[in-house]
Amino acid sequence: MGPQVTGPPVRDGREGFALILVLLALLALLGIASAAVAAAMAQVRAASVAEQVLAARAAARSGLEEVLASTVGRPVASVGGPAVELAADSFRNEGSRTVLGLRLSNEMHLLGGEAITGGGIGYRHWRIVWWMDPAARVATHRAVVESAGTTVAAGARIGADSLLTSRLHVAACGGDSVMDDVFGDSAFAPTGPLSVPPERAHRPGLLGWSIIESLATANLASAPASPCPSCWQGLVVESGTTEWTGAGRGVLAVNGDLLMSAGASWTGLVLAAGDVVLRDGAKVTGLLRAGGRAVLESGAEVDGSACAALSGLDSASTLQRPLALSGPRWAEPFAVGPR
Amino acid sequence: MKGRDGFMAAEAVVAATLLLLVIQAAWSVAAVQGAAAVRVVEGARVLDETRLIGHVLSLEVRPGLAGRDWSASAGELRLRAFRGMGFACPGQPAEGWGVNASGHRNPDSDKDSVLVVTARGAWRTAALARRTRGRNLNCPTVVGFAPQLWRLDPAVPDAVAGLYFERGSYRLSDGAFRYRRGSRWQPLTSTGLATDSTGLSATGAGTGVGVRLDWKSKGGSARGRAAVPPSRRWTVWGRR
Repeated sequence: MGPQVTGPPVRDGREGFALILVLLALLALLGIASAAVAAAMAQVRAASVAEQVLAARAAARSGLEEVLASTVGRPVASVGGPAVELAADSFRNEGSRTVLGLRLSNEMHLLGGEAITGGGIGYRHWRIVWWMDPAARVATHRAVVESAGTTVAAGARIGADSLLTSRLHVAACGGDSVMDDVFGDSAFAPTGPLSVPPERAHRPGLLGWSIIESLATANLASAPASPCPSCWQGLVVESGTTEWTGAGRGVLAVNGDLLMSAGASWTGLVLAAGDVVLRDGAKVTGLLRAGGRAVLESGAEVDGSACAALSGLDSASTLQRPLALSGPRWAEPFAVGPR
Repeated sequence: MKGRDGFMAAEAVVAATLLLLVIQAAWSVAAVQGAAAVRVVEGARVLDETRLIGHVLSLEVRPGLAGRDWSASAGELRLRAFRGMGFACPGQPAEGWGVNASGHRNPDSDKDSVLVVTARGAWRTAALARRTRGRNLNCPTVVGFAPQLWRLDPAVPDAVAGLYFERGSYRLSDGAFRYRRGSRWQPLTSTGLATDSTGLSATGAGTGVGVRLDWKSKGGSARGRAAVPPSRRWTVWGRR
C-alpha cells in the first residue's frame, strides 16, 4: 500500500454560477415585490387619509346638525362680535369637534362645525341660518297697522302713543336699545305701507310657510277660544279665509284673509297674507300687518303695543332656534386637509 | 483517475439541468410576480383616480341645487364651482364690502362671481369686480379666515355673507376626467378611461349626477384579471 495522495477537491467552476443566478433572480423578485408593496402601502395611506377626511366631514356635519336640532332660545352671540362656541365634544377617541356661531346681523347667523381627527385631518362646514330675535323682529314694523291700504271707519281707533308701556298681563319693555330706537319716538305711525314684500306679510320671519306651519303651536281652528287671561299661545297659524271669534294671545299668522268678529280680540302680533277686517268691538292689542287691506269698522280698535307684540314673539318658543333658510344653505368648501 | 472523467460528465449534465430548472423557475416566478405587480400598480392607479373623481364631484355637486347651481346633460356637468365664502365684518368701509374670507383659494376678480345673502334673507348674484387685502378692517378673529375688501358689481346693500364661485364644467372625455374653465379642457387624471362606456348624466329626477367609469386595463390585458374591477357606477347627490 503506497501512501494515499490527498489534495484539494477538483473544481469545475460551475457551483458558484448557479448560486449567483439564483441570487440575481431573487434580487429581481425583491425589486418587483418592493414596487408592489410600495404601491399597496401608498394605497393604504391614501385610503387612511380619505377615511379620516370622511370621518372629519361626518363629525363636522353631525355636530352642526345636532346643534341645529337641539338649540332653543335666543342667540347669545352679538352682531359683529367674536365667534361663540355652541358645542364641543370628542369623537372616535382622539378626535375633537366644535361648533361655532357668528352673528352676522340681528337675525342672520353663520354656524360652523369643525372636526379634527386624531391624525390631524380637519374639516369645516358652515351653514347660514336665520335665528329669530324677538326685539329685532318687532322692530321691523314701521307702523301699528301695516297694510297695502288701511280703512279706519269713524268710531274706530288706532293707538300709537304708548307702544312701550305695560298692558294687562303685558310687561313694559322700554330700556331695550332696539325697542327704544324704533318705538321710543312719539311720532311712530299708526298706519303705514308694508315694510316687507306682500308675500311675506304673514310670515313671522324669513321662513317658508310650510316651515312656519310645522313650527306652529296650534291651528287657529283648534286653539282655545278663550285661554286663561295670562296664558300665551305661542305661534298660532291658519290657512285660507279665517274668522276669529275668541280672545287669543301670541302670534297669529294667517295665510289668507282674516275676519275678527265683534267682541273678538288678539293680544300680540297679527299677521295676514290677505285682508284683515275688524268688526265693531273687535280689538287687537299689539301690532298688525296685512298683505292686503286692513279695515277697521266702527267700534273696532288696534291698541298699538310693541310690548304685546314682543311678548307674543317671546311666547313663540318654536321660532327661537336656528332655522335653515330657503336658498343655498350650505357654505362650502372649506379647509379640507392637514391642520 | 480515468474513471472520474465519466463521473464528471454526468455531474456536469445534472448540474446544467438543475441550473436550467432553477433559472426557469426563477424566470417564471419573476414573470408572475411582475404581472402581479403590474396589476397591483394599475389597480392602485385606478383606485387613486376613481377616488379623486369621486371626491371632486362630491365636493362640487353636494352643496349645490340641481338646475340652479349645476346641471348635467350631454355627458357634461356645468356648475357654479364654489371656492369659498366671506362674511361681513362689523364697521364697513366707505367703499367696498369688508369681509372675513376663507376657501380653497382666494377669490379672483378675473373669474369669480359672488352669491350674496342679505340681512333680509334674499340671495343676489354679483360679479367680483375687485379684491384687495383688508388690512384696516375690524373683523372678528376666526381661524382660517382673513379680512378682505371686495367690490361687487352691482353692489349689494345689506349683504351679510357671500359664496364666491367660478363657472366651470366637468366631463369624461378623451380617456380622462377633465375640467373646463373658459375654453380649455384640463385633464385631472391620466388618460386611462374607456371613453365609449364612461360618462356623466343627470339621474334621480335631476337631483343627482350619475357617474359611469370604465377603466382600460393596461397593455390590453383581460379586464377580469385586473386587481381592481375596472368598472364603477355611482350617483353623487346634490342638495335635496
